[in-house]
Amino acid sequence: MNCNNCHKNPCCCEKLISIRGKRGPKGDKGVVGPQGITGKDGVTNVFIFTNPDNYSYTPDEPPVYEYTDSFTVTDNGNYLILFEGCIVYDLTQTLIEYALFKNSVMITDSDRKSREVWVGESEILTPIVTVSTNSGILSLVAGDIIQVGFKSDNFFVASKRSLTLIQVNNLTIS
Amino acid sequence: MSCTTCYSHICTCDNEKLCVGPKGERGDRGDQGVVGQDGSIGVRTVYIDTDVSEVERFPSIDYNVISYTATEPGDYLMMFESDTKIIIDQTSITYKATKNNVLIPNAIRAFRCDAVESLGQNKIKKNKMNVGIPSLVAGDIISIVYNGNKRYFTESKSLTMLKTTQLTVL
Repeated sequence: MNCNNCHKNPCCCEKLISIRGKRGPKGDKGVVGPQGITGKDGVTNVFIFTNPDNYSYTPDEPPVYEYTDSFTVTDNGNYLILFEGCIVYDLTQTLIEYALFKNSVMITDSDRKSREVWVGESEILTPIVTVSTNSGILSLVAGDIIQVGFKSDNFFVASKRSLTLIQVNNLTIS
Repeated sequence: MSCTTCYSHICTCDNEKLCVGPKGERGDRGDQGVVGQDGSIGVRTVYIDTDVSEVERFPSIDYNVISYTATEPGDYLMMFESDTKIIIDQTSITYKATKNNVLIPNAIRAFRCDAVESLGQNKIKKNKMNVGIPSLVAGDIISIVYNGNKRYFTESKSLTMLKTTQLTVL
């Protein structure tokens, strides 16, 4: 190889032949990232209000919903609402309608009905039946008021009622 | 800088190509490592026991119709539902939830049923109860206990225990 400057071999111009080094090799592939951390326990907050007091319903004309139980939401989030209780019938053929309400507006599809029919001497024994309903999953904000409402064309007593709000992380409606 | 073979500032050994030149360019950056594995998902504990057997029950005797023995400490929401078949007129039944044989506050419900035989068929009543149970410890036993004044049958029963992060009993 001749000198780049004097073009002689060996060089006679006192300028050192300079050969540039090769390009370095490509770096190694990075190592696999660490495993993700374990997820936290599923968060499920439950607010439950069990009312042991009897609620005596007096019919209006026409019947209108009266609220027996209510709950004021303190945490924003998605909730599943459950209600159950007992109804003591006063008269045969009494039709009772009940539903869940959010800020005095009925929650869609939460309305249910109950009617007891009895005959003859069995009237001696006043029927008690279980009623229940639930909401779909609702998005609620602090300050929202959840209520249970009843209406009927006759007297009855609502006893031993339970209103439950389950706060859930994920909203899945199927 | 000298020749690496003859050590002369001006190379005389015909090996000038071995003279050290400037450093080569830095190599390309290596490829990115692959993404790490996902962490395991969090745990949400739900225990469900469903019993579809039909069992005959006799008057004025307490019966445990379904139970749960806690294995993890914590707060729970208990949800119970069942069907009860009434076969005799004027049957009155009370059902309650107990923790280690002690009544849980407000965990008591009842139903009464009118004529059944007179209608030529048995009546089936739906029973339901939701109760918050705080501070369970492993080994605690939650039971649903029935007591009726006449003969009856307990049919399908379902007991669900949902472990909660925070239980607020109002």
